[in-house]
Amino acid sequence: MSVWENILGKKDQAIGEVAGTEGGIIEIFVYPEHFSKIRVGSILIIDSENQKPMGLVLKLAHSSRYGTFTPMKMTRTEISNAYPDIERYHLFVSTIAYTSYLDDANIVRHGRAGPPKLHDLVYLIKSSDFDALLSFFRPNNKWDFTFLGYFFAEGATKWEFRDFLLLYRDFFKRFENEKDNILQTLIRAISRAKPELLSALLEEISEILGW
Amino acid sequence: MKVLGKVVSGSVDSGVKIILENSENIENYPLGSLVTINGINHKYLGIITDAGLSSTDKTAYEIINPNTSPRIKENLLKVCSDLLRTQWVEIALIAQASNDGTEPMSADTMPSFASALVETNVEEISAFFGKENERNLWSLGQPKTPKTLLVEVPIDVEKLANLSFGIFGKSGTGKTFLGNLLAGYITLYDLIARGDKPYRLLIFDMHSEYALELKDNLGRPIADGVAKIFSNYYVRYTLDPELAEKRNLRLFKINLSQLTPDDIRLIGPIFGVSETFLTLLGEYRKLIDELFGLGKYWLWILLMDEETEERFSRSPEGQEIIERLLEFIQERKGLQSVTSIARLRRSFEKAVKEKLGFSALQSFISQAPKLRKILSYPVTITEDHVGEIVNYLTEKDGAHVTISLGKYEKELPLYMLVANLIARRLRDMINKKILEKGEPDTKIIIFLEEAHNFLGRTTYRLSPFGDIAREMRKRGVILCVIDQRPSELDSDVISMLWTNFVFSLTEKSDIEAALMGAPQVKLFKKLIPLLRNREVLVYGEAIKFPIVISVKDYSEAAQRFIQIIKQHNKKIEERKKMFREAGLL
Repeated sequence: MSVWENILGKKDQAIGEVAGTEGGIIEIFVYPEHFSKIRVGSILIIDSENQKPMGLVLKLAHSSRYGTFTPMKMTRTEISNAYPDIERYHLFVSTIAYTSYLDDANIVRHGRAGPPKLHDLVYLIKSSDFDALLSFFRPNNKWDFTFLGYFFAEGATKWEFRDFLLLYRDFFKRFENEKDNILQTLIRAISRAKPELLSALLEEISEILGW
Repeated sequence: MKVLGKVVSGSVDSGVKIILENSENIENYPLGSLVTINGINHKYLGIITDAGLSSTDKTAYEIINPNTSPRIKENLLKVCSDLLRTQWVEIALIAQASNDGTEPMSADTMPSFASALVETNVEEISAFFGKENERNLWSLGQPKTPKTLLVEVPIDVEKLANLSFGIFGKSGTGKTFLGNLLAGYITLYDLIARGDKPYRLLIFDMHSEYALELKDNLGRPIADGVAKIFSNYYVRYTLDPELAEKRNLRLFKINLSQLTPDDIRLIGPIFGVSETFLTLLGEYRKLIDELFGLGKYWLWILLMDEETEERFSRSPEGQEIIERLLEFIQERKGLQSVTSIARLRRSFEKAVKEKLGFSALQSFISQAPKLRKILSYPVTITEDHVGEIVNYLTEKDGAHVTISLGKYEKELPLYMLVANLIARRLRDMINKKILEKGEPDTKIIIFLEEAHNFLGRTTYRLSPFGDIAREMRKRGVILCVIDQRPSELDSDVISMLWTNFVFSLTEKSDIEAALMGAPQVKLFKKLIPLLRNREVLVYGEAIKFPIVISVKDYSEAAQRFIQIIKQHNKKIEERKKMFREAGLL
């Protein structure tokens, strides 16, 4: 079983479903029980019919489903005990920047295929899933960070980029012997995507990766 | 052909901007270098007049950002060298040649967008500038190019020697080397390819580097000067008696009887003489003539006080001058009993008071001693070296002439007196010849160092060189104006120069003056202060297109001069022998 079949083959592992899409932005309705697993910068994959859209989380939102809010003055445990189904009345939304897709040959392409459909199931690529991350960051055995272009184009700033780096720091640190190659590819991608942020982003890389 | 860059913007007048390929190193494009641009219909030749590097500030800042690790900076440089900087050069277009092979001409079109900058080659430079033929075209030196090319650019000596030209540059940049080189070429051109009239060079040789040897910055001799190499064709004078004796040069003495009040007016300010005194000079002279009939000897009487007379009588030459002067005086009616010039001078003082007034006397008493230094120069009362020189220059079978100052090289007034004396007599002689024969027999080129002393804004109208510059070109007399302060020259003089050689200059006003007739002045003036020693911008009549040249090593040229002159003499001997054998000699 391939790494992708492994992720997409378990319906119960889906963390949400597509709630809307517009341009390069996809809104995901996140199932409440998975909301805490998602972070800004997380990579999500959508199980659409053909190519599978992928993207990086830009925003996470949590609000009342019906637009009203009543203060309770309780701890989280107290609330869970008093109202076990409270999350049914809450809305958990994740906004992702559509940056990539998985093609028919199960190879990650950084670019956009067709839009997903409403209710397509969404899966999280865990920051510990080494093989899946490797396929994403190094498709065809070559480091490729061009997805950052789409990430920035859809509104990511140095702070979202920082979150992204923090999330995958341990993954990248496993490639100490390839750091020059990673850095050069990263710098090239940033220079093309967001040259005005180059200075700030390089500072983040220096600090977080320590290279 | 390797493309080094592409035309991206600019104009014929303001220069063409070229973005260099990223593989090129901007350091290999020095200002003043010759480059080629391949347009669609034309091949262009241009000179680099500026070069630069631009980058986005933020990216550039990243290289020194202390918050970014050295490793990232290193990788940033590797990755973003294209993005970090744009390398550009600015080119002044100087010439263009159609692809259909027509004669190259001055550039009046702009290369089309994205035309390629390519390496210039020997064939192209020769096609644009011609090749040395050792007749009218003689090598001036190598053009400045991004990569050294073994090609020499010639100057057309025939054109050079027919119209006044200028050599400008700071001290020590190579003016005298170039002066000797050009003088050598003109001498050879005259020998090998003389036209209807012989050329005669008159070189005022302030530092004795034309008549004797050229020296390096430490004063060590490097090569023989042009007049020494061609000593059979030059008569070499010097004002320095020791040098004359030691180096077998002819001694030149100033005949004070030949000086006019105008000559003294020109040098008066150097001695700090008052304007009033200088204005009265004509009156003093007139009075000396009226009183004693000795107008010709006016300056002797004006300057010779008891002390000077006493000093003169202590040396045999001085004694002879006093005796001859007294002879002339005693020949005059009523002056037979005069035994002292200084005493005669006292009678003159009385007459000044009576005829010209007390203030004229005061002026005479206070100012005349300031001019007494003239009597410490090599002077004569009988010899006429000026006449000799003028004859050498104007007679068909004459010779070129150098006048070296020797130990007097820093004596500007002496230099001015001699130069003005000769120039005036030369002007008079040429005018006489024109009246007699319709035209002079020779063409004369005067090499004038520190020319602003004669052709400056104030001196231009007073000095005989001003007349020569204004009126004598059509009569075959031209000037080679050599100066380190071209801005001091009268603008009329600069506008009369048809070929200009501009070495490094730093003063803005000097650069502007030296480039007065140049095309695209705005562009060229940027590179003048950056020229290295021996590098010269040449533009004008005698060179096809403006170009920066590293002037030929004079020592090598001197060797070539010697070879050519030997070959020439050998040919003459062979011809003579042939004529003798044929009974024609």
